[in-house]
Amino acid sequence: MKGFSLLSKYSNTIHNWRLNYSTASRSSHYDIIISGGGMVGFAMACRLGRSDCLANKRILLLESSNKKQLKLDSYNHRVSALNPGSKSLLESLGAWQHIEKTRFGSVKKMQVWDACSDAAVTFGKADLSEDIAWIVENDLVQDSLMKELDKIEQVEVQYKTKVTNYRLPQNADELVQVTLEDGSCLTTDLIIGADGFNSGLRQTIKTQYISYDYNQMAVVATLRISEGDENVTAWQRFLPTGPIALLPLNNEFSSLVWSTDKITAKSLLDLPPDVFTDRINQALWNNDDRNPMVQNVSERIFQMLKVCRVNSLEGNASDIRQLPPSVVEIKGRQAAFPLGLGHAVDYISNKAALIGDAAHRVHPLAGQGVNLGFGDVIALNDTVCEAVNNGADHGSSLYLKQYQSNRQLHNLPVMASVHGLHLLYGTTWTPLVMLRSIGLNVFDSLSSVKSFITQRASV
Amino acid sequence: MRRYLSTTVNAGEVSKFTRAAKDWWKPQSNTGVGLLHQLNPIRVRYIREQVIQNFHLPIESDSAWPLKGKQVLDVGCGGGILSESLARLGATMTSVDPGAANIEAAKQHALTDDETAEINYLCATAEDLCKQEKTFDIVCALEVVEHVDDVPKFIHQLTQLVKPNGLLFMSTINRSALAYLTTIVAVEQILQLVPNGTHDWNKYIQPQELTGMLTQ
Repeated sequence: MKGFSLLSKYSNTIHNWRLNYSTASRSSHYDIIISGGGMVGFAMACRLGRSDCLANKRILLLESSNKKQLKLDSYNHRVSALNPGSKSLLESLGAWQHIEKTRFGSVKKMQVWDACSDAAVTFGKADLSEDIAWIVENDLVQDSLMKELDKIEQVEVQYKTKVTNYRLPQNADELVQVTLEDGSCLTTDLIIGADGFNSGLRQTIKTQYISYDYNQMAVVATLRISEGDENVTAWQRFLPTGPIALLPLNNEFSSLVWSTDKITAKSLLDLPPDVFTDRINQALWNNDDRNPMVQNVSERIFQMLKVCRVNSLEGNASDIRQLPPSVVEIKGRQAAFPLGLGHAVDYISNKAALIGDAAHRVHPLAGQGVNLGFGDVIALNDTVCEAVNNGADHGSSLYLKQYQSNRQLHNLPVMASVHGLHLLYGTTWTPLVMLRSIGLNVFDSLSSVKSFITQRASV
Repeated sequence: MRRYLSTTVNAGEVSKFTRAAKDWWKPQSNTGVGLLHQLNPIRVRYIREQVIQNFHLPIESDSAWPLKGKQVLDVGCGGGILSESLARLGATMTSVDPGAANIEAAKQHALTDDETAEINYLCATAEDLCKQEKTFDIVCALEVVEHVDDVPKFIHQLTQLVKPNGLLFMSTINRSALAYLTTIVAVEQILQLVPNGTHDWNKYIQPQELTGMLTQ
């Protein structure tokens, strides 16, 4: 009797499997599917495609828009500040050489200061000998990755392909089912969601998503700056309404990222070019927000710290307080995009994993967004390779859980810090302004702590 | 039910595993298979490294199918946890177990993935294969030897199944006080991760005893 019920249970399993397998014909089954073709999605496809242990796997990337043609006649508005870890990744994928041959900005120094006082912090070597970040247009990063992806045979890219539904397996024997807009169905052993902060895959996973609308937008533009020394400094001034940043593209141009409340952002978008240029210069140079009491105190502390450091052997870049460039004109029109904080409590589910903005979304004030995404790419690839090298199924939950732990351990502190800075600098309340100004001056004088932080933000 | 005339298979031991047959692929169950799943990655990694080293394979350590072209035997395969992993590394697998229900469970599960569907599962013993004079490049008997009756004879059978210059992998629990505390008191009685009576401390073997038997 017992044997019979066991047998019938097994025959059911065979039937279900056959049902699964017959609908998953050779041409519509892929070992790994990546949903979303932004910088992070393409980097994931390249990295997986280049891993030796995955040489026999069929990988598919699905992108809902058309294949983009790179336009280089003027600078594109959306840029990213790549840290050394991201640059290494792009080098290892063969994509960096295309960027190098085309164009990018080098950041050898960063100066961050407060509009309410004169407190500032600078990062980088005094002699400007080392690159601490690289400013690259997002479209160029994507195009470079696409060029390399074309060379990898086992990775297929389908453009203009929209996913309408995901069905995740209930147990380890089943496959993931991906339904496309045209009604066709694909199956896979591992679905990777690189589909941005409105991720459809994340919604399918039904994880708790912690989100916070900053009620801010980032206004972006390409600016011609006044001529001076080499343009290798990234400038960021914290205004009470949000930070304004100038990121170097080359000696003539910088990229603007001005985070401010939605109303101000919308009014900035409507301004004619010359008025807009004036407003940028005002934001960089105007001292109206200065709190006199805080200014007084922090100035004294700044002098005191300079004296303390006089015997220090290290050339601290902050000893020389530079002034930001002024903006001559804007090239083209300005644009804006909304800002928010988001974090998925679960990055994974059965045979599914989220990477990049699909898993986490940050304020651009620390230039970390895409760097966290590229970190996810490296970690997930390592996890999948470990699974395969141990003879496990590459979608195995045992391994995906490790990916989740590793990345959350890294990402959460960064996100908390960025959010913390946003809150700290979003107020004009004197005690807090005093605290952050003094704090910033003291922090600025601690070279070893700054190096440590820079290193931590580099991976 | 076949009656086994082999002198190494202990019917009582076999039944401990066959009653849990349907749980082989449910790592969350309390029949102890979870621990075997967790142990598997370390075992596979070790086997992989040793194979590349021993056969002087001219490949990178992380290439796709390091066991391709190798005839591999898994003795006491149970539900096929190890067998499936080795099949995914490219091995031509033959897997045997005296428990018919185990073999059934292993077969059903292996069919759900292309890479494991070719595993040759047989309800048999090492002795049966010896009689057929089969030999293999690699033989594995992991977590088995603590469950057999006549250990020296079993080990002799295993050595006969390995081709010259092949590899034999064995793993078992050391007969030590620590093992008693961890595997029997903690795991079976307190945490109940594994059913009571799965392991008999008297059957544990110490490393030197195993090497002694192998050299004979």
